[in-house]
Amino acid sequence: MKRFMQYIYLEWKRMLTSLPGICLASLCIVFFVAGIFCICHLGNNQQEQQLVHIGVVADKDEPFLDWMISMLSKMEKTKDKLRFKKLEEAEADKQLSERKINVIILIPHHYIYSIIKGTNKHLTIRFAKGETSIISLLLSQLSETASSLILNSEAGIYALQEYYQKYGYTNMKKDELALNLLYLQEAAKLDRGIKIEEIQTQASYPLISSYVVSAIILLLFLWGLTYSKMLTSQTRAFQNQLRLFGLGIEKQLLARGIAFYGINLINYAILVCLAGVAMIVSNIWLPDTLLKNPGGLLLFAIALLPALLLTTAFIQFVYEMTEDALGGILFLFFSVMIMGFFSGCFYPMDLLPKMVQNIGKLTPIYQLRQYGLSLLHHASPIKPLFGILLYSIGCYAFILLIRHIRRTQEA
Amino acid sequence: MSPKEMIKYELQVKNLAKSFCHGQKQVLKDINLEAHEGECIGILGDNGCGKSTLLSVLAGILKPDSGTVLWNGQKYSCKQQPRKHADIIGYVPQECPLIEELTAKDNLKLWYCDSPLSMEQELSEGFLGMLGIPDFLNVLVKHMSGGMKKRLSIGCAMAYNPHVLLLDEPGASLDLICKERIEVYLKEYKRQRNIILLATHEEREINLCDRIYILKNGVLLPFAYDGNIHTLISRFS
Amino acid sequence: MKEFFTCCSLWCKRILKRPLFLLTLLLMPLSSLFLQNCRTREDAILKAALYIPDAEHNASARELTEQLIQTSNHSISYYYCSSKKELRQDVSSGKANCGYIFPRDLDSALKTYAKKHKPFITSIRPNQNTITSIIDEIILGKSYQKISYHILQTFLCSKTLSVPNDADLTELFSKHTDSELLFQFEYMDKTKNENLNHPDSNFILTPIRGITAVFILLACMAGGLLWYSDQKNKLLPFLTQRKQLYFQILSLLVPGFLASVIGLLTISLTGISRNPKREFLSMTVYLLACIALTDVLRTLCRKREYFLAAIPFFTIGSFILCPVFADISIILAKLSYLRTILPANYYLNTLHSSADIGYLFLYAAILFMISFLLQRGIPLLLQKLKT
Repeated sequence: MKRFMQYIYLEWKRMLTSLPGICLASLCIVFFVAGIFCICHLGNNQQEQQLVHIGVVADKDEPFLDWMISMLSKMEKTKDKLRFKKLEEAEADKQLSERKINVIILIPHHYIYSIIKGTNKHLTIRFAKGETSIISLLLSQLSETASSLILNSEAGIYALQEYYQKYGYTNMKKDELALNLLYLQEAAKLDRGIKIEEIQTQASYPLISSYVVSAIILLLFLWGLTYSKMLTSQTRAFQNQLRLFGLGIEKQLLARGIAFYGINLINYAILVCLAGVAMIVSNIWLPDTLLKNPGGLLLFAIALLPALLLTTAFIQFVYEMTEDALGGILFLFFSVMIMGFFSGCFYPMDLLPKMVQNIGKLTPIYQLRQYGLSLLHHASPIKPLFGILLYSIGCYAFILLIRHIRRTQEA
Repeated sequence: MSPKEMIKYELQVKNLAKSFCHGQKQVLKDINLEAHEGECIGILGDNGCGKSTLLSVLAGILKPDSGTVLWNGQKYSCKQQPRKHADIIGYVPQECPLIEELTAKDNLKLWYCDSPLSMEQELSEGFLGMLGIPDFLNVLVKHMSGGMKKRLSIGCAMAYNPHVLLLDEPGASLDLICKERIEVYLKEYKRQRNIILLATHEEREINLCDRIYILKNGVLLPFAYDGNIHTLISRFS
Repeated sequence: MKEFFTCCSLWCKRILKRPLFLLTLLLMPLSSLFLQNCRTREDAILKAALYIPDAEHNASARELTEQLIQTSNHSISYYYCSSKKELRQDVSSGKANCGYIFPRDLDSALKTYAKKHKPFITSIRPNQNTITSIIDEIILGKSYQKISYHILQTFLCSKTLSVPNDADLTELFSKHTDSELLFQFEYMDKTKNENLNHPDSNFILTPIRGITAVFILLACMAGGLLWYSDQKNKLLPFLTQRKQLYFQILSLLVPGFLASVIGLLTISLTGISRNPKREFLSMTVYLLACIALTDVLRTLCRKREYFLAAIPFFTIGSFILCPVFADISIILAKLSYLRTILPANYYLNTLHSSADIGYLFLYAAILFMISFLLQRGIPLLLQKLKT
């Protein structure tokens, strides 16, 4: 027992020699992330609304241009978010590359004529770069809607023209303009057609909480990228010597695990302190959750310790599997990314395909997220806690298995 | 006379065999060996003939395919009776079993924490002092020379003052002063009625041995060494 | 030169003999292929439930909803509910993102809307957010053909002071209606934006390029660790200092190169690559940039621990600041300045912008120069000053 305790202490002391470098990384990351939050927070406080600047490129005498800009500018949902600029194509491209405008709408030459003739040239929307967010992918759906608004409004105008011509009504030009304006107004306020009824939903956590918990979990895992030196296996000779003195593989691994958890605790404590300081200084909290004040942060940090156990076990498992830094770092990164993706860390889980969701629920990161979210929102964490403990035991069991296999192979 | 002094220690190895790769590589075939207290047995052989394997089996690290290893007529397992095992056997492998990031003192603490011997006493007047370990007690292992590491390894193996010391090429890549120190220590250890089994290539260490065996083709062959190294070399070939 | 190629092949052998490294390389394209093919017909980003009361006698509502259901794809899918209760339950449970209840007589509801702007559809939703309001717009867009007809009809009534002939007007109106898409999407370099031009694109593949970029950077950095252990073991003492410099680069190049090859394979297998030549060029320059960055870090960080500390900083930084999953500069434009130190930022822009390839190349060149100055230039200068 004495030797076991002594070994735990010495392993911990050995791992401690690598801690300064890791703490440096902790410091940099926390200041970096806190800096981003502060900048965002200050940016919002100064009421600098993020507008979408749209460059519009068309012939000078294009009649459609003003109509379209008016329509879009008047829409309730967009009038405070969009700003239009009429530009020449070369100037628009230049501003797009310099990110002074977000997107360009190109109205082709004689656009209206093409519609009248039925050749229907396309309006082109030009982006600077690829979009990865879900909302941007739905732009194509919206473009259908916009097309419908434009085409059906035009259909009404042409129908009016033909009707007036057929029945010999006068004031066609005046009425055409009035109808045009009416269509503009109707298109701008079309959402009056929908009556909204909000209902209670079953236990779905807000997106911001989800992302906060995901960020914490991923950070705890990705810290493993710095632990390669700490977790390099001892030499065979040393392991054999320990066995001779009564510390078998199981005890050696247990001692290592305890020492590593101890080190991780120190790193975690430093992270929590730094995060707490950053949150107090920037006054960014999550109301209606446990993270609403410094006391809540401390409680949350303490309650999250089982999560630290699982991340510790997993990291140790990866480095035990590989015994070298190169494979360990890359495998750890990739496995965490995949698990995080499948568990809904990056995109909300209910937006992912069913197969991905089913696999995601089997990953340890899913259990960790559920645990974190239930802590944050005062829900029952028992079920995910059980999952976490099960996965932790599983990781240690695998580590033991790997060592046994290695020993058997050598023997 | 102490109880330890009253007991006569004896090692008996009978029909020991060991193979690897599911029997494809037979390293040890039919090893028979006896060692008595106060004896130093030298085991010589070509590189890769199985000397380290033999010592590992005798130390209890590797399990033999067949045969027995008896200490005073009894079998001891490091797993089932670690304390008893450590009392009897001390093993110094070729590769130094030390924690690189820590000092010599920390490494010694690991092995001496529940030892009957007092580490401080051994450092000041015991065999740790004899090995010169106090000179580099607070030096990190990764900053030590090969000789220092070897001496420290021997010191660690002696934590329980074992009766049998298994050494795998102790003098490899050491300077002459280090080799002399180790030789002096081994002589004293032998004088205290302990057994030494030494796998070596060094002439100096061969001269220390009472009996020499040559391990060839998995079999241990006794060799009557007359002090002439050339006879020994011709025997190898 | 012979030495260089010998070392090159030995380095490749050395790295490829690590099973976990190989496994990770293999997992990348495999998992991307899985993500590409894991969608079933029922999978969609957003699901909208539809309910029509008295469906048998509600032809216009049925027509509209069938149009919606026919346009179902992996972005938005629509389905029928048999009752209002079922619709509410589905929205409440999260099975549907939102639900729409149509009126008993859609035609007259639309007519009433045209005159009095009384709502004609009820939307059931958890809360107002951007995503569900997009579905509102789509449904309104589908209804707009009828709405615009009724607006025209009401307008003509008021202007001509007579009720226009319905059949006549319908004929005139229908003659001019079209369901064509008026928009097409493209990038700055005039290449088509296939993700937006085809609404059924697989959105979960969009971050693959970003993840690949970070993976390559990480591979170079992990290769840097090998160099620390080689230096400790004095692996290359027989080489001159100049040649040692080459092999320093090699220890970064080999894992980075292998990761880039796999990255290119992944991107092409998943079909997100539209321009192979541009992809190849971008990847090559990006690899050089990663090597340059790692070399500078390695030169600055004398101790392995500090180099290890830099790894999560650059990895996590790339994920947060670069548009891998989302573009953070949307929140605040100033944040885009922070990502100028990260090579992934330039790489993700190079695909549709030739200028960004130039910037990436410049970035790599500057870093190589800094590395050279730190390793050779400054010590040489100091030596000269001493003498």
